[in-house]
Amino acid sequence: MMGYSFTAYRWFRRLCAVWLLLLAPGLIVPELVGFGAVAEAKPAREARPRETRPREARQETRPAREARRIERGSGTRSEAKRERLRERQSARTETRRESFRERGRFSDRGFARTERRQERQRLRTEQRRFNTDRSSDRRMLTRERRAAQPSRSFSINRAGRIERISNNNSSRNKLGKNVIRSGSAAASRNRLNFGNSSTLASHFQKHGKEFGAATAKAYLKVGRDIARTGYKVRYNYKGERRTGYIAFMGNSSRGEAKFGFVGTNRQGVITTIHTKNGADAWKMLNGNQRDKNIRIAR
Amino acid sequence: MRYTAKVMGLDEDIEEAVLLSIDGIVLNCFASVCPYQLQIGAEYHVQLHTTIFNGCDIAPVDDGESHAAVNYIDAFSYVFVGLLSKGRLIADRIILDDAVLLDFESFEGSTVRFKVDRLDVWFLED
Repeated sequence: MMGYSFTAYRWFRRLCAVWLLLLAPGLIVPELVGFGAVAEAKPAREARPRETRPREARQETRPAREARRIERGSGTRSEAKRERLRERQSARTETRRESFRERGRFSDRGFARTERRQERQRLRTEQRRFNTDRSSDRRMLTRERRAAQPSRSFSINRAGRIERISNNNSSRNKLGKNVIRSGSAAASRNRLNFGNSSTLASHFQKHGKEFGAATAKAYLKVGRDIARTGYKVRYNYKGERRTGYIAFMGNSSRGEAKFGFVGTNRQGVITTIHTKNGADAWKMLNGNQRDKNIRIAR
Repeated sequence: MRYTAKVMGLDEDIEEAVLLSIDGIVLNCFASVCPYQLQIGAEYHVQLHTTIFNGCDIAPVDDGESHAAVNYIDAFSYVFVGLLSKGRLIADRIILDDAVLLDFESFEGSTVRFKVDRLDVWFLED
């Protein structure tokens, strides 16, 4: 082992000596070993003369740059190259197609499949475009139809039946003039109000505690909630056929049914918001306190 | 209980508020059932009903208090003081026969104070 290492070491020393003999003169005089190009020191770059043109003139525009490139010849060369590439590509595609055709059925099927796929895609796109147009047309048509027809508001009552709230969009105000109403029945019920603020205040004073309302506004809100969620009913009051809203509130401490009631007059103004026990409600609505049915008005 | 009542006045703001005179006792009532137009000064057949919102307030009266009276509190609220007999409260010339009074048999024969939150009146159709 030792002998082998020693021999290797000797050979290594010899190689190093040879390398030094061959390369050392080259390092000192590079021309001797052909490293002249590498070792040759680059001549110092001459300092460019300072640009004296104004900044605007120095910033040449893109067309100017293009023109200069064409003039130089590089642009035309690249264009020609590109053109050649295109031609080569199209020739290759054509050759491929030809070869596919020559190969017969398989390639035909492949092309046919591609064509069919493209056709399907085109049809889908057309269909989508048509659908979009049609739906927008339909929307437009619906809008026009609605504008032409008198508005009809429907709502689903708590019994699950569809009821019509109004079949025209006009009503009379307090002065007896026609007033155009708009919006859904629920929205109109949310706008229900007393004739004036003093009426609301006096009603709140007398009935507010029935609902535990702290303010007149809260009292009115209760009434509107009853109108929105309750049953629409007709009843006779002071010789008039009126519209009211009744909603079941629960049972009283005595076990009697307790209802919230909102009465309105012909002008659609709230005349009262108060609670009623069952007997009261049946008597007022049906004229008989034993007739415990609520007949929903349409 | 059925009465013949004279309409003494009507409220401008509250349509249901009616001032009635029943056997000389003036009551501010809430006309919850009124199928026809009322005229001031006219007489109508009516029924009185009581509405209680939050629990029944009925208690025997102390000896010192005056018996048989109808005391107005506010709005349509009254306190009736009278003899409780067979589920009826006899307060002066007004007799209340509310079902709730049947629950207070223990006060039978004694004078009680009964608070009514709202005194309703039904105008009857003959």
